[in-house]
Amino acid sequence: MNRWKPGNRITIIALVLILAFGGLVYRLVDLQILHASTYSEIARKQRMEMTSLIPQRGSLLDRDGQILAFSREVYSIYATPYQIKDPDTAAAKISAILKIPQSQVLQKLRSEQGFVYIQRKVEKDLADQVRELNLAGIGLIKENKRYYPQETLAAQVLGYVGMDNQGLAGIELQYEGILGGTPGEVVFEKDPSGEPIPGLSQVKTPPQDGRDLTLTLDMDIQYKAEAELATAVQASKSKSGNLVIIDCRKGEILAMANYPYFDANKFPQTPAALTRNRVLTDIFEPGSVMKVATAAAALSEGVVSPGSIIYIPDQLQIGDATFKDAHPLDEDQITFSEVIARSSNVGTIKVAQELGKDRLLKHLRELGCGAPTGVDFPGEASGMLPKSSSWTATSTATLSIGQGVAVTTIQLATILAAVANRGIMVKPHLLLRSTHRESGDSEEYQGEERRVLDEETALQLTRILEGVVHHGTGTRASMQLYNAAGKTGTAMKPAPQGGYLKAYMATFAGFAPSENPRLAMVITLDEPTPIYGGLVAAPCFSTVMEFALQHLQVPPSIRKVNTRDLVKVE
Amino acid sequence: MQHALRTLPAEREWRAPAKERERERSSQIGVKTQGRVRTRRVYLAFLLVLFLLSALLFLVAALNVTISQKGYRLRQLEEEIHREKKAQESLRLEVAKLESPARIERIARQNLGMILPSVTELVGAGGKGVLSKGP
Repeated sequence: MNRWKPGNRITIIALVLILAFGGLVYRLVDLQILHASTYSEIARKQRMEMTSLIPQRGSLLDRDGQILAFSREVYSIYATPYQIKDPDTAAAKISAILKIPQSQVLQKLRSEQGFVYIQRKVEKDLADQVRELNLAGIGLIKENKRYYPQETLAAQVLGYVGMDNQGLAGIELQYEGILGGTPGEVVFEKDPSGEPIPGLSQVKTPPQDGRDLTLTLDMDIQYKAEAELATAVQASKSKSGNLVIIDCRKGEILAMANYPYFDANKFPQTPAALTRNRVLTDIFEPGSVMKVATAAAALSEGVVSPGSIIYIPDQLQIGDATFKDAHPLDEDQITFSEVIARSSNVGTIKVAQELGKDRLLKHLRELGCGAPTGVDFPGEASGMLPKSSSWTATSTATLSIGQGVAVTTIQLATILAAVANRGIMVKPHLLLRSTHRESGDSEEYQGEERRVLDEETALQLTRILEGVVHHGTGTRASMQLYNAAGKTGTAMKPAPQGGYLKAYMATFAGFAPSENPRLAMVITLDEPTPIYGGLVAAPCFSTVMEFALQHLQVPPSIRKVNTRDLVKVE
Repeated sequence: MQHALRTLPAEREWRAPAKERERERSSQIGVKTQGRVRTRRVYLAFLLVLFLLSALLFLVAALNVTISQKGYRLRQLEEEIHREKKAQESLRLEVAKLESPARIERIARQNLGMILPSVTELVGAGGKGVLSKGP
């Protein structure tokens, strides 16, 4: 009986309470101190969710701010197949909205995967219709889609992006690091239904949108260049053609056109050959256009002057090779200026022999032959300049007239631009500036330049090249309002197994206005009919160059040298 | 208490004078009154703290409600900004398509019957026109 005295009972209750309280304290210590981090992490995972924030890809703009490429928000529709109760009905409804075969949708809905895309990058209005169906197991993800509103314009230059918005070709690839931006991360607290609780989301890392790139391209000049190139290719039944226009003082590329062209919005269905920017990737033997480099070397070294008299035999025998002029000359003695104006192979070879192998090779290298120009575009070809050790007895002769050497269109344009720019070669480039979308701060492209010819040589060569347009092989390059300087080229295409094909590349390379040059341009046609650059490429030069100069509000030439009213175009 | 005092032997031996006993009794009554006053003050202080705590709780609750409301409003505004930005993007894209030189030339040629000029006209500062033959 003593055991159940009031005092004992109080003691027992107190003990029980103390034990219970102790247990609570222990549990609290366990939860809050010993395993606090573990439980905290479990709780955080249960109520917090992290998702990535997709950055907006930067736009591509022409030099006047016209949009060339632009990213817009779209939706990708996906399915979690095991959550779909009635795949047949769901497939019927979805296929009716997305206009894709029902069987195709059904196949995806019956897939055994946990996640499957039904269709990627769907426009917002269609996505909204699918959302309104409110089907269990069907969801939408926000994505960005790249649009090229000008469609075919400069498609080979701009390039394209893949399904995940990464640049795959062209400028899109070259400047992926600047255009692509950096994804961000957002953490949000969700309610029991899984919906985010307002005000409790926290941007852990904000996404860094890509910067907008302003290119050196001028949309109007690019359009005119593409249109005239297409006309030239079609009229001459060429396989293809390309052209480039460079601001010879700044190295800015105002137009870079390829034909046939393609719609950048439809690049997955386009053959790979069409997407190539041939201005930079394709090399060819330039033929007589290379006489500009030979002349530059000869004038620089003082081997000849523009007025030097050159004796022109009917043919020239070097080793076992015989060289002739494509069009035999009436006179047997002409000035060096006339040798270039009339594109005499024999005269040029004689001057090159006087110059010698080493000096010719040195100047060709200085002018950039056999090395990429460094233009900001992926996949630029280097061209081909044989090593000194591999030169044969005829190499000096053949290289001086543009055979046995291969260049890209951009290399030729850079050489012509250097002559036009009084001997200073400026690295060609496509980027003008990059701009931050929100802050508007911009970074200008820093150009590079180097002297490759002395000023006097460049001026002498300019006068010689004016003669080509005035009365030489390039009279069809003359314009109404501006004096031009340039050189024609017609070269046989080398055969893969050696030797040459009965197929030609026609070229015209020139600049204008010749008295105060602003633009240099090269146009190349692959297998045209007729074959001569002066007949098929020069007229295109005339039309496009005149348009470009007028568009840039360049004052017309006052001292008429070879404008069309003075030049009789045959 | 008195009973306990009486049982003490020392108390039995010594008894205080009547006046002093009276004074002592009065002081004991004063102590009791002071105790009651202190208890009341503690009670009042407790009530005050309770009131303040309750007020604080209400304040916190009200603030939370306001924050939630503002949060919803903020989210609505953010969504609205997002929508407007997307609309702006669509319009920019539309403008870019409309400004396409290919489209303009097509409309000029097909719908308006325009052709490229065959003559380039240069107008001098004095207003005298200079004509140049076209291609």
